[in-house]
Amino acid sequence: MNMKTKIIFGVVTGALFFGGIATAQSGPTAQEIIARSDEVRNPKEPFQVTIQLTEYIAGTARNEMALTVYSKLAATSEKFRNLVRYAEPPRDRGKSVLMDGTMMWFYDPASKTSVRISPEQRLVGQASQGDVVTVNLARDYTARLVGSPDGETIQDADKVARRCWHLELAPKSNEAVYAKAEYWVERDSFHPIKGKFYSDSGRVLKIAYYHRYEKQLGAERPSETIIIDAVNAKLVTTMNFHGYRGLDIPDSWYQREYLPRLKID
Amino acid sequence: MDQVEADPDLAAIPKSVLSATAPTTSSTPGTSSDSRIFLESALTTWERRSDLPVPTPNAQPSYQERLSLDVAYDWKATHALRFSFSDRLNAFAGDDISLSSSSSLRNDLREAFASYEVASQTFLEIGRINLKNGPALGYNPTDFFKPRTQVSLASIDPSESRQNRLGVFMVQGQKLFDGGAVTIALAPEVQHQSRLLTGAPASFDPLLGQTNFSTRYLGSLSFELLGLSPQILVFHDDVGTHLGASSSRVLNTSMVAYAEWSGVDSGSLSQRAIAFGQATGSLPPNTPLIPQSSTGKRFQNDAAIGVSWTSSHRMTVNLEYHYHESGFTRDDFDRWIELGHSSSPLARELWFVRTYAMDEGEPLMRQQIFIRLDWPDAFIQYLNLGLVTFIDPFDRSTLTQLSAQYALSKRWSFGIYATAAFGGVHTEKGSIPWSRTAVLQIVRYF
Repeated sequence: MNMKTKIIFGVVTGALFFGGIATAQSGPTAQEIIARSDEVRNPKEPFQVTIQLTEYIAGTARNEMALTVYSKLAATSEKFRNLVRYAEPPRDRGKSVLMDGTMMWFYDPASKTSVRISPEQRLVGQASQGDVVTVNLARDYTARLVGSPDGETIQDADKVARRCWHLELAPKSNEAVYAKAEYWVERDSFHPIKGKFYSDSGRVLKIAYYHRYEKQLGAERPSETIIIDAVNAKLVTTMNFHGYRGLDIPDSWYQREYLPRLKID
Repeated sequence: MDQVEADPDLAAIPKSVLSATAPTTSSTPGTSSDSRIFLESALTTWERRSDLPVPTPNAQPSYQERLSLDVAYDWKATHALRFSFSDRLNAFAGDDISLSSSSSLRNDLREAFASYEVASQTFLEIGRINLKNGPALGYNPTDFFKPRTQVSLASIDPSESRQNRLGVFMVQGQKLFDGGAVTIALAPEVQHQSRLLTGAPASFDPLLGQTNFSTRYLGSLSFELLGLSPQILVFHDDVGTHLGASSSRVLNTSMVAYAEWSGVDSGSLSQRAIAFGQATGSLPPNTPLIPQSSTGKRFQNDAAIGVSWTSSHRMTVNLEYHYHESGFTRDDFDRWIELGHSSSPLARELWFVRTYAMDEGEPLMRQQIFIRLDWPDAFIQYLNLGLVTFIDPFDRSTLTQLSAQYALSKRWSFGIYATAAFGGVHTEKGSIPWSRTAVLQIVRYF
């Protein structure tokens, strides 16, 4: 190695080293922020949770639905496998859905048959399966910071000021439900505070607020998500998460043959 | 901290949303019980045809009211033992039903079985079980336990008819593994084969002579392979050994394709129907036999191939092609019309063949097109619209049903089903004894 080469090598190495330090000092990357925020929403251990969905039309509760979700991180990827069982309303009780990537089956206890469904066949009214089931945003989207790396201050659902990183998410897998999203994650706590989700045409589809943080399965997690329909301004859906329970879920549950056996414990 | 600007998006959240009490598991009923109970009233009217070329042996009613109490309950006795029960009690009234007769009340015991997890993910079940297979909606060649299990319903939609069918008394074992399962079922003969029902059965007859008239075995293997979710089946009954296979695949975010096939050495539909009629005494001994276009057994294929597509408005359309090799060809059907038109003694037997096909859950014709549309929250929230059409590709006659169901509240729903048979009286669908029917349905869930 001659002197010139040594100098270039030294400059490049130094730049990489100090650049690395500079990056570390400026805080986590956008992708790290979204990954940490995923960990706030989703327990890493297999779990079950009950989700109560309430649709409000012009402020009046019109429709209620309850689902129990059995979720587990796949052994080979950062992907969650989900089983969803309808508990309410009574006409839907016992219906269940398997969502394992693009593998989706719907089971109706009345006909005792499982029908294969496409991702477009949404699960329930206003909330899509992307809202209801456990999803790792970091796996499905590429995140980039928008605005100052120090973040911006926004109001959460309860109008409390929160210092948040503002992220823009672009799909990187075909399992991403939205064409684009904006996401606000609170600095330091990595709590997701707000999300704005867009269609292919760039239209805002829904706005979500995550609030009422409670300690569940070892971490502070949002116990309620408020979803505002950006198309029909009178329509608001709340998703309340309760009854978290760590559960040893065998991998054999995530197949259509198990759906008839998914019962209340 | 920076000056916080008011978030205009927050203005869309009503105060009632923020002040609502958070629910708990104990306040969510469906999370602590596995029961489904509802009361259904279904008033059906029929517009009869009077110009049928092959007259029907049984009079077509003009109206019927059915009131049904439907109960499904699952009880976990221990960690490994569960009991399941599913039943429908029906009360009927109509212009062909005497209120004092046994036909005014009927109980359909659909399921009653015990399930025991003998080892991890290994289940043994015994009792009356509804075991169904096949991904298609209009016709399932691999649904081997479907013969003679139909009960009364409000809709012609096969997916609805599968809701109310009777189970079969059997012993079933299933081992689940990651991505698949092996299932073995043995359904023993419990009673001698009963006749086709031309009238109402005794009120509380479990109809074992229909569901368990011969010893049958089923073995199936399902697994994951390249996203195709295949299933392979072997079934044995008094017809012979049936082979079956099915598969499905997601094509893109809005489309799913599926196919199923079965094959067995057997006689034609009319051969089997007449043999059944003679064996059970459903056809009187002196009935003249309709001439057969083919005799003897040969390998007969059954297939259903379909695709589903879902729009961005959540409307799902299924299009299926059904092939039923032992069914009627166009020539067979023309002969059915000619024989019935020219020989009234044969009319009973000719209709018997059609009733037999319906009872077996088979299409009458060799080929059939099936279209189904399902549109939840159509135009307004809680309004579900549906369309089901069977098309005979030989004579283009169709049987079409439009349905609308509206969830008035969490517990009440209201439905209308309007069905019409299109085609001349010499066509398959145009030769049935009614031209139009309508059902008014009210359901109260508990």
